Amino acid sequence: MKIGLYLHIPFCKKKCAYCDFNSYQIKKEIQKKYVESLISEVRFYKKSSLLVETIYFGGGTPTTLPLADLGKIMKTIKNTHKVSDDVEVSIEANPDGLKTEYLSGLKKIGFNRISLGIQSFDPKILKVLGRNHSVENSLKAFKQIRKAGFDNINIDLIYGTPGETVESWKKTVRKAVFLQPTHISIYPLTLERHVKLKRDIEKGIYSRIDEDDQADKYLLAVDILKKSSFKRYEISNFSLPGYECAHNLLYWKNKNYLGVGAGAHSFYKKTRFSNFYFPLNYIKAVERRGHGIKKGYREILSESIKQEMILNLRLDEGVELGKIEKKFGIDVKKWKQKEFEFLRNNGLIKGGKRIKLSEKGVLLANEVFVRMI
Amino acid sequence: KGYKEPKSMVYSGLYPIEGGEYEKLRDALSKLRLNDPSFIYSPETSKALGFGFRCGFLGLLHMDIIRERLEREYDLNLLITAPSVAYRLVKESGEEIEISNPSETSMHRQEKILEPFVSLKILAPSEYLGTIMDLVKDRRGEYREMIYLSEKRVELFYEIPLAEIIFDFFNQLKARTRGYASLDYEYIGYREGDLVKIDILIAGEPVDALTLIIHKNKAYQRGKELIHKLRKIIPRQFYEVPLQAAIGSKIISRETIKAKRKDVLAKCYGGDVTRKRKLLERQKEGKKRLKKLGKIEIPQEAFIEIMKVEED
Repeated sequence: MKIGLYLHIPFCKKKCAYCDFNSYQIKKEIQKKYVESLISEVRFYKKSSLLVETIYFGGGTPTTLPLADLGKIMKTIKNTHKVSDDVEVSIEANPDGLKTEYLSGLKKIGFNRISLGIQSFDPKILKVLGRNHSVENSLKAFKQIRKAGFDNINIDLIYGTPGETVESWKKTVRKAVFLQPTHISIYPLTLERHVKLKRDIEKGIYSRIDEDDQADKYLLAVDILKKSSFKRYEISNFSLPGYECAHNLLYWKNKNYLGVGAGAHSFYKKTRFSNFYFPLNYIKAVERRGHGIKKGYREILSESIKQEMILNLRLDEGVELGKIEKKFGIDVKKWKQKEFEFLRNNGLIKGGKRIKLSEKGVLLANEVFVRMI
Repeated sequence: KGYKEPKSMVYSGLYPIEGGEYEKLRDALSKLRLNDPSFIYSPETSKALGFGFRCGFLGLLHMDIIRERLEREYDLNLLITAPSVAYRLVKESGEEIEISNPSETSMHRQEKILEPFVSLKILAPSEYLGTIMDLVKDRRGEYREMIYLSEKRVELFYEIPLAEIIFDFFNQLKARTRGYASLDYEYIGYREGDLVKIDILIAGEPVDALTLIIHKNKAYQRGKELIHKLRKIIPRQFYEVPLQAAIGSKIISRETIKAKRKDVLAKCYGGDVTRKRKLLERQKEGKKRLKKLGKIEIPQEAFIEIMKVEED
């Protein structure tokens, strides 16, 4: 059975002002213990019927781990599991402190894809976001990644930060394109719970996030990227042909994946489960049981269909109704007839046998999703 | 002379927020009437609000008391339309029809609208004379008489439309006179008024619950205020919503609620699937609780906000 393997590295040198991810500034001793737990959990999932097609190190900042640790984890994966010959092995990286030797080391270990968190080429915006790198760092890091021999490179960008002009965003997108990565992800700044930037906005230090402005900026970026040969294959993800992120596609195609590490999520044989969130709790759990699973649930049929629909619709290729009907045994066309008609009449979806989000629908995708469930 | 049944001066539409509470409201109203015969009511249907009741009160205070009792003693969640007085429509034939619901009227040019008038007595320190007279004049009061009870205290008599004093008049009077003025009024019959009916159209469709009858001179201002209030309260839909105030076929005020352009979960990776699904589920539940207001749907809170009368 083909699966993807996700590993979470919850460590960061500094917490960004908008960060809602599971990441902490943690002592080296705990980091060492954490790596040991990851290795144990990788072994726990040993099953000869599994074939690992993608490996993804996410975080936090996975590149804060020393090469030796990353090497140990990769060795364990290869020794425990059957790994595909053309496995995609990705790692998320931060532009600060990326040394050439480290990058070469990553390549030797087996990484063949890097995702660089640049976010913006506007120093003012980097400051608002609380990023701990400069524009120069970003440019240098990208060049070094290329030099180290990586040819599958993603750049992450954020738009809609308070104080960002349309010009600033246009420049950022153009600069990213100019570097010639093979993949670009763009995200509207969203502030959840009580992140620092949200508090600052409430205090009046920065202006509120403007969703209309974000809508404009999204469309602008789509236009620039399209003209530069980047094809959008998912709501927020663009790539050169053939360079779509195989690991993330597993999520949107509703395929199976195993998540290892603190707060990692898995989807295996219709069951969705997740691990303990805090690194210390995760380490304790793995010590006790060999895995870090905290809770999970089995998807009932109706839930599976809904999930498949809303995930598939995120992709530009949309959802093929015939495939859903065959896979789940439900006449989707009839079941969602009223909703499809409404959405079509309002210009949010297009297509007949294959339903896709329209251009207007991409920005208003929730209006579509909420009617699919 | 005998007992005269007190006449309702102020009317309002009472609707249960949850359609399922209609029977409960009906029963509560009948119980209330048993111990308060001055309170009257009859079933009414609104295209915008569904099934409810048109209720008659002796005044705004009476209306407030009844509303509070219904909400507290009978545990009801109510939507109350803006109170109005009972107008009378005089048809070409001379026949007079009582209108307790403004949306019932459809006026033809040859017809007249009569409104109830009251004789108003205000007692206040004479230093506030100017500001009081300004207020009453602004409310279409017709001066009748002024009597100095002493050097410092004066009694003012006006005849004024009831509709002009049921909103915010008492508070205004108190504010202008630092609380020293007091007022009293008595119904004195119907008089013809230069009145028009304002229809409120949302997405091109008139919403009966928002219709109001108002003096011609105040129509433009009031229409503008209402449209503006609606634009601020009604949440953006994913299409443009025109708001219009109209007198007959003439649009007197117009604003547009811009279409919402972005409503998307931009990130959805492995760890987001379950959480974002829950978010969508909550959004779906929110949609179920939307109430129809003409062609569009708005949240309950917005509904209540729209129907709320400006403070009195």
